[in-house]
Amino acid sequence: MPGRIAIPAYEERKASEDRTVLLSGPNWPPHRPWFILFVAGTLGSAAWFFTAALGQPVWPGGSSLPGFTFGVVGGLIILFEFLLWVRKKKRVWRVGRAQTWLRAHIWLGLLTVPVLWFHSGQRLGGWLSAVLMILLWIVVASGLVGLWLQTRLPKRMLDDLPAETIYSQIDRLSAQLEEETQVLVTRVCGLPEKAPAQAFSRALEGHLVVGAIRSVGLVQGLAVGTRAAARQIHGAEPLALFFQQEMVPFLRGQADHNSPLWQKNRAAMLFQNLKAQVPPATHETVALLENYCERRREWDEQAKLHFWLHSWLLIHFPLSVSLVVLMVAHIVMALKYY
Amino acid sequence: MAQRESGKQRATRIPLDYFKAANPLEKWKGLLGWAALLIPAAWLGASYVLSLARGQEPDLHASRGPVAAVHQAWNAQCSACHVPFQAISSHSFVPPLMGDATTSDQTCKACHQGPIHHVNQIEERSCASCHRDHRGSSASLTRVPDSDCTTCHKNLKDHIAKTSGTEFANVVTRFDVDHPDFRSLKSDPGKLAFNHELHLARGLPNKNAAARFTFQDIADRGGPAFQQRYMAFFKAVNATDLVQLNCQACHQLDRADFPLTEDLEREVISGVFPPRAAGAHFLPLNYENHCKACHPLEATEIRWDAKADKAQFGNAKPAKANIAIPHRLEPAAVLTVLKDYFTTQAARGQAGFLQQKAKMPLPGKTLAEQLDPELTALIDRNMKQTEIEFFTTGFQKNCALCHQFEGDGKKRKVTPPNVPLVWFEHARFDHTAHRAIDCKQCHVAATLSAKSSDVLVPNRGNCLQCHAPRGVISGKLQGGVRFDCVECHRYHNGDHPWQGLAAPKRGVEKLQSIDELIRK
Repeated sequence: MPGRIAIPAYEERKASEDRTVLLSGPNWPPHRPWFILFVAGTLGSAAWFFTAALGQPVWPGGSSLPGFTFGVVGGLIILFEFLLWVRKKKRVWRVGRAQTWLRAHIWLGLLTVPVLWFHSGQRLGGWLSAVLMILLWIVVASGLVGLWLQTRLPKRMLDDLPAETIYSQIDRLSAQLEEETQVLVTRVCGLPEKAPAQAFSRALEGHLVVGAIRSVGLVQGLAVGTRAAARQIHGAEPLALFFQQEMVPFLRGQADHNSPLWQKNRAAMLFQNLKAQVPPATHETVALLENYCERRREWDEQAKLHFWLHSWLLIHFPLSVSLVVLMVAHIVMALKYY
Repeated sequence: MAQRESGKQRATRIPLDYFKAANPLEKWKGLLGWAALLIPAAWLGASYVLSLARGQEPDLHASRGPVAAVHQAWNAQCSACHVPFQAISSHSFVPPLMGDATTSDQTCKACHQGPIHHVNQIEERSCASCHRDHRGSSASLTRVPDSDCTTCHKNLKDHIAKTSGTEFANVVTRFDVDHPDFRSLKSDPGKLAFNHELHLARGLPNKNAAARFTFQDIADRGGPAFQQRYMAFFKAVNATDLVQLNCQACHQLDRADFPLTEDLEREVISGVFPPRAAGAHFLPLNYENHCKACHPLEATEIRWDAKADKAQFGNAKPAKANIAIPHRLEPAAVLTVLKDYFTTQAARGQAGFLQQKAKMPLPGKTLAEQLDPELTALIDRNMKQTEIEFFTTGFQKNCALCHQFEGDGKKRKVTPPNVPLVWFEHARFDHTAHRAIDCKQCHVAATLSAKSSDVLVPNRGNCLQCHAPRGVISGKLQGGVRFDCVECHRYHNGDHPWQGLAAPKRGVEKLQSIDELIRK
């Protein structure tokens, strides 16, 4: 790209991410055989179905040879699709590559739509079969939504959220940030009346712990970094006021939605204004606070994207379970009253 | 601006057992997964239990739709028709370990047999192959699509026994395309004279008589009761009005269409006219009902006048015999009836005859003639006149007006008219469904037909005006009315097209109680 500065580490990371994105230009070749299988399966089943329908008064139903075959194939595909859940739960079994499973899951899942539509003879039928068909459509549609989201959102997170972390740790990390900034501000501005006891001790220790004491169960590791504590600076009271009124609620996620800290540009202006109110010696501390706020903002954005990235599974997975349960009932009933 | 932490630095903030922390999305996914497992299972289980509680079969919503109205009583009883794990349609692909449709057919035949189409057909299908149920309560089970018929009729010779030929067309795929003309149409041997042209003309102008026929003529011939009936039917005001018959004067779909007066009701055989006709076919034409008003059976007689000279009866004017001569008698019976009448009349002219004691002849002997020879001659003369009036072709009266005869003298018999009662044997036509159309639209030749042997039933081309795909032909909008096979044809019992649904062949092999039938 003209004018673009190549950063080797970034390019390597970008290429790596492109490979993991579900469906994109560079990632298309491994999908191609599955796509061909999907198209061939759709066209083949359509050709068989419509050929069998020639001269017949009604569309071939589930008890016709093509209909029965489509039912068996569709049912087996659905069971296979469900096995992806088992494959994910039992990663140590190593039955095929996860990416291959996922590609098969995507394209075979799509193939169930035409195959089972032809199985049904293009009718919804009674209650059970209608519910089954509608469930199938919802499951496939939610899967497509998930596919789209998982194709788009990881790239966006990669590009826009450099502070991305593990989703489940956001609250914990936010608490860490609050605690660290509390100590820092306490040290720079003097002890507030209701500062936490832990902050007192750390401020008096003369250094700040950066990061966490890593622990696994009862075993605790070392602190992985420290930062020299700033000395108390006179005239830094506006910083303390800002910290208590604006930043603490923001770090806790309790700030009003109109808080300027939620928006990058307004936050930058706010911190610029704050720097003008405090002595230059505190500017480094203000910059650190601004950095933490940005990190907190990114985590919040990450939480939103994470929700969209995975929430479709709240529909896709449970309805898949229902689909399998009702499919078993449908198979038994259909064969009983064949 | 403070320098960002590197990825490694950020990683130090994460405890090594971070994965043990609860993920709300995963938690919800698990909860919803269990709900998704339990809710449908509960739905099916509740359906099962509720069905049992209602005394119904637990079909677990397996039905693909409500059954037809005629089967509504068994809508929740799958096993009334289905045999578990047996195919019900011979069209179905039968997977291994599953029985074919033969067994399921028995459940259908417990209520209604379906006689085969023709004895020489090769294949026999299961009931549900053509009669597709579960298409809603208003769906017809008998209105099967054409393809069910054309499976065989598109190449009939391959579907009948090789040893048996067939009179039917080999290829029939659609009524408007390759259906042959109506070859099952019956012919009229013409043994019963009837002139449609004459009877449909105003005033019934006989070419031998310029005088036009009025309602007064009906009174003169058939009597005032008939006059009253016809005037009421045609809404005539004056007895001198000319009679203008129409098709409905003879061809009626229901008994009440052209009601008989109370007197005439006794004369018409009730069995000929069912009290509630199906309406598809016209009621049979009947002499007493349709002919007698204008064509009464009449004999003339010369009566004995006791006051006059015996020889004078030869010059006496013939008068109408005072006797009602029944229809449907063979010529010999007519002569017997009339001879008895003439004898009775002659006997009235012989003084003391009726007071004589009845004599019984000795075995092997005959009684001597007891009637005056002059009176016997009078009887003979009347009988000769009767012969002419009743059985002479061209006399334009009585039996010979319509009927033909075979043999002579005492062996004379009426030639059977053999007018078909049903003209279409292998198809049905419902006149009731067509009553909004003027008769002449289809039977256009009727007003011009003078010969009774003319078959005035229209052929296929006439039907195609309506019963064909909708389209514009010669600038005229045509078609649009159903033209599928079952519109006219019925499948079962095809070798006996006259046998209807009540035929024993369509009955059941074993009678059931109500309880057995409803709650089988």
